[in-house]
Amino acid sequence: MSAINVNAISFHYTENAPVLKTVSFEVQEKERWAIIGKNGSGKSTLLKCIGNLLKVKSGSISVEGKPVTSYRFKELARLIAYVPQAGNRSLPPYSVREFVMLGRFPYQGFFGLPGLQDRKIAEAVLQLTDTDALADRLLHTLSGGELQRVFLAAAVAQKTGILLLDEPMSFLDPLHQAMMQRSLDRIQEEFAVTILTVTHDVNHALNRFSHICALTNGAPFYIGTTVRFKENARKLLQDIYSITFSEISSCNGHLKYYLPEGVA
Amino acid sequence: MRYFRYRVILLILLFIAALVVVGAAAFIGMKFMTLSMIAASPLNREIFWLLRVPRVLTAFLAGSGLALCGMVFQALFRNPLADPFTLGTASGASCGAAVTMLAGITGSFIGIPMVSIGAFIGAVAAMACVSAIASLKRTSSSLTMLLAGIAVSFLFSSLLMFFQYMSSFRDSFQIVRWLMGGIQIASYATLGPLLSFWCIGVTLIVLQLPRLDQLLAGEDLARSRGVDIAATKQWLLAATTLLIAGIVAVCGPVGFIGLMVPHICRRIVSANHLFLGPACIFVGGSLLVAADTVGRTIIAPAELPVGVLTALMGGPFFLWLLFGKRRTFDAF
Repeated sequence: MSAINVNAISFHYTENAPVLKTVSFEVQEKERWAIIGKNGSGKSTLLKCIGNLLKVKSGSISVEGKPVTSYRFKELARLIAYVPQAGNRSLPPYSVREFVMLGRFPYQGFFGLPGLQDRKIAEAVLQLTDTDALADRLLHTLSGGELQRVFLAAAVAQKTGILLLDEPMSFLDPLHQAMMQRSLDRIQEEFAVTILTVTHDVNHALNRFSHICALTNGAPFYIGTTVRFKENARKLLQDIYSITFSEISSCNGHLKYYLPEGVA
Repeated sequence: MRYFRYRVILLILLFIAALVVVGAAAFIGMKFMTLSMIAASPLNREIFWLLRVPRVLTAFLAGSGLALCGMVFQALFRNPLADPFTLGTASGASCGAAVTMLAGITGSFIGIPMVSIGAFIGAVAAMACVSAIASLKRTSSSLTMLLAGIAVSFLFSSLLMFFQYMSSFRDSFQIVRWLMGGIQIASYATLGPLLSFWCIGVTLIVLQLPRLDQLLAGEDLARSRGVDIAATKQWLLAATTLLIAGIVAVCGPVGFIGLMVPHICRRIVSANHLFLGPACIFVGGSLLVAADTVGRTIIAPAELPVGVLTALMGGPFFLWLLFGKRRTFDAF
């Protein structure tokens, strides 16, 4: 049974302006997928459709073998957690600890009193994401990099098998990117989660992810393993972004990096 | 854990403070009464039980209800400027009251003044308009609702102005007086219905408290954590409509409490709605009881309308909090 099965889905906000055009792919457990493509190619929309935040207009999405729409809201929230794009977040007046505790909502009863178990999980997640030192700070006093990790922490506190991350690395300096990556590695190691990430960093996508889903104008352009993508990376990247890339090897020759050059 | 224990203790303190304020307010008036005075004279007993007690209880229910509804709207619209009257309830109620007065419908129905019934109908009509617009657009978007509310509010305000312009000097003054808010009409006849609306509304809101926390964090995030947003909003809207309409019908559009008390309480117990909700009930209720007590004693035997006093008393307190040392209002 696959973790996620996206079956020929289409989506549009307004008629005659399709955002997603018959996208299909299958994600197995513990895989890491990077969703890449130009701005406006439908990456975030795809992520929201998988999380059932948007209803697909045709096609279907299954999670753990059942259609997403067949789950009850809280049931689905125990399978999939979502981190919105940094630009689309409202910052509620909570401390980091309070905010991470909010991620325990799907496990609480109707009245939602957090129990001892919830608090223990929240503390563990704070440590796992290097946010324990920030626990008593208010959200709006944090830097962009800190906020990214706090939002990730709240999603991890949901204890789901699947994480949907919308540009978790944007607005981060190299150090914070590395810290974020370390958090993600630890999370995957500890909870064996499946990760789907929207990203604009092609090198990050190619070096840290097992699979690539590339969209052009809402249509699937490349869907498959990163290994196969790398066999023809320059050509594929040029087709995806309409810009030429040059290839550079790292000092030890193990990794290849792609630098954008100019409009093709 | 310390976080919970500290806040539970704070809530208990606020509860005791509210009890003290409510208890003391009934003895204070044009004439201060001690227990022995009440026991001694039948007239005093009548003043105490038939005038002061229902009035203090009405003030508490109204203040706590307005504060709670303000808190709900601030979370629902993720807007610190939202208050119970954001969706046009105050202008709807005022319009309803004005129409009743101008039409010369006086008297009362099972002890409830006709003006109150008119105001109740007006308030419900305003909220119904907003819900209808939102459902016509087939959206539960907070922004659409907020804008629809403001449009409806203006609609009813201008209707009210039209009525006032067309009315006689005497009627016009009566309307203005009603707009200032006041708890003079409080009696057991109005306390009964108010109490039942209060119980239903407050219960519904309290049950939704954890979902308010999620809504405040953003709708996508709330949805991804399993909140049924459309259903939550419908329940909250129904609860606040009942509560606000019931209060405005008895007390008129008393301002300030609904806007400011949630902010005051956020400072005291944090923005966690499990604590914020009860805090708003205790502080909002006490504040209106205190304001009303001052209002009926300060220029006795005349009375100051309570709406005039809430902001006069609460404003400086709020500013003191605003310029105080702790949390800023950058994010609420």
